[in-house]
Amino acid sequence: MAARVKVVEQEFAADIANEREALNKYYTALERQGRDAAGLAALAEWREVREGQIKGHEVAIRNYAVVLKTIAVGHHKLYESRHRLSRPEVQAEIHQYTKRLKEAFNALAAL
Amino acid sequence: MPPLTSDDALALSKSYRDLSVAIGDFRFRNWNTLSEADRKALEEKEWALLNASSDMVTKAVGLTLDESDAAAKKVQGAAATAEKAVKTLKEVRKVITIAAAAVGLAAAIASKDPGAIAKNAKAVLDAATA
Repeated sequence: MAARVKVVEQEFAADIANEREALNKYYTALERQGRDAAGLAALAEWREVREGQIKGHEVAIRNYAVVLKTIAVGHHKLYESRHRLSRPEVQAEIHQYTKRLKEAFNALAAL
Repeated sequence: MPPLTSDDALALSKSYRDLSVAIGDFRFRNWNTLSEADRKALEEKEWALLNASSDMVTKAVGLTLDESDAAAKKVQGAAATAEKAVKTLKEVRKVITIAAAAVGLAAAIASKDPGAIAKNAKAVLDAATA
């Protein structure tokens, strides 16, 4: 699970940085060549839309990492409590992890 | 030496992205004075380096370079040295030469040929320090 969190947090983030630079190269070159004011305004709007999509991916990656970390902590808690799962305080704690996981998952699904 | 780890590969990937960004900054900063052919040459190298950055993690993990630490240091330092050089250079010919050498190094890494990697890393360093 730790390796998966690392892949999501570091390698996905590197992919996002590359996407952002690709967007920058593409739109900056078009803006440099453009002469028509209306065309340039349209390009700026498109650029903003694409930047918004990349930001959305970034948020999704952060939320996905939260989901993975919450699952990992929950699994660890379950393992630690494996001999006393029927105790109310353990059940309450597991319930808290489940609630946090649902919140993180819903935030991810909403994107 | 031990094979490159995912952290090493990530660092190499970032160096390639930074180099692509630096060449892009050079192109946009000097847009009005560059010829169309030079702009095109620089842009092609930028995309090649950015694509190499994207592929670097899968291509470089587990790569064993050479028995000497010097080979690994040369590879890891070459792209960073190239980026620093591009940030200060004013001559487009030199920037294109550095970029072409860095693209060659990326191709060598993808081929996993230690001899070609060492040769191309030296070419990048030579171009960046000429």
